Amino acid sequence: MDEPDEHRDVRQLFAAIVATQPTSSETTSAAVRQGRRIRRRRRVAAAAGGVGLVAAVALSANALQDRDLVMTETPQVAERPATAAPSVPSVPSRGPTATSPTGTRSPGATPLPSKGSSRAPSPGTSVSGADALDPARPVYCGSVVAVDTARARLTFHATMSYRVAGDIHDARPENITVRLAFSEDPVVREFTLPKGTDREWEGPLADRLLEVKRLARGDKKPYVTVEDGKVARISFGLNNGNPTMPTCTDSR
Amino acid sequence: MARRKSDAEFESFADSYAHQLRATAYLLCGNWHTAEDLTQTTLIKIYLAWSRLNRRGELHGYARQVLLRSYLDLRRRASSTEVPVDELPAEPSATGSTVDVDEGIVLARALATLSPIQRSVLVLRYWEDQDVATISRLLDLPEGTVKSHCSRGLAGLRTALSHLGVSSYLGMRF
Repeated sequence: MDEPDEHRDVRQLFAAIVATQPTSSETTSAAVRQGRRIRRRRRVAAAAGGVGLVAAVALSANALQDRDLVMTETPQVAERPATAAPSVPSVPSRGPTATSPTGTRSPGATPLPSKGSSRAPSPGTSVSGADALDPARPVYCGSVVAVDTARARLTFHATMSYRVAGDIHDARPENITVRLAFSEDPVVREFTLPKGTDREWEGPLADRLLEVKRLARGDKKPYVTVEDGKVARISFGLNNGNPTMPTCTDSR
Repeated sequence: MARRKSDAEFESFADSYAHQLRATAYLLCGNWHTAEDLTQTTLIKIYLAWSRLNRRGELHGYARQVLLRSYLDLRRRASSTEVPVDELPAEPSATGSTVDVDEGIVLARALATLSPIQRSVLVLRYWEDQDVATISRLLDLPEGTVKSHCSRGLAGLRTALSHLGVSSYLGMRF
């Protein structure tokens, strides 16, 4: 095929990819947007060290953010940008303050669930199926300890236990493998989580879905879902992550 | 007064070009959040060099170069702490899921299978409409190597699209 056709086809492909950007109203809560702004401004401040520069670049950043909002109804399709009116940088208000497991406090952080509150199924929690009574097939359990949108940091904890006749026994695995995957980012981060420890991961929190997938012994796939920067659901199933059989839920 | 004028010019540039930078950044990194961060980093660097650049009229070329270098730097840093895999893990069950895997994300996944250099070459060549000589200069690679990356990148993209079942997308013939 001739080169102009090739050029046009690949460009069309790229245009289709770029057109998939998430729209703010669908995917991003105000808290997450604010968290991102704070994070960027901190980076700008660290890089620049000058008030004038911070103001100028924050202005540009806000223009980006505001254009996102404008584009909510009509996703952009790879066209050259139209000039938008400059927007005025706004000082984000301080959100609720929460304490991280390390004792630091940060603005905009989602209040923490109490540590261990959802580590193991509490007595009376609905557990169905024969698996729950089988010590050879432990109940995998864990929790998101903190979601700090301001610092874009996720702290999670995982443990494993099993239940016999209603009593919880801690199986104390040596290591649990934790995998983080984002719906829009086909890169998986994989960690080994030593027993009895929390793990922090720092990076951009996905708007739509942050999935913390914990794979222990390779055959169980419980998962944690964090939506819009908050702990939306913690669900640990026995049947390969099937949420219809939760052993431990914590809806916040 | 001069500073204020300079800032106003920068804001005007950022307003008009940031969107294009962001789209290019997304094609490079495949993640809108990272793309916004790369855009921001690029804007900071442009601002720092603004007075020099504005006089020479090299704004867009410089911005493209900064964006590209920032992306490649990011990839180098990430490679020491993250373990990339070829495929996403199994999707979560449907209940309560907000995943909306649309066609564009599938296409982005195909693009993500390429190496950072191949992706950079393709984005510069076909999205930014740069010629081989310019790409060669931007990436500090011989022209032959650029052509080779381009050819292999297209082949890789074709293969990935085929595996994802979208080889006929948009009448793709490349």
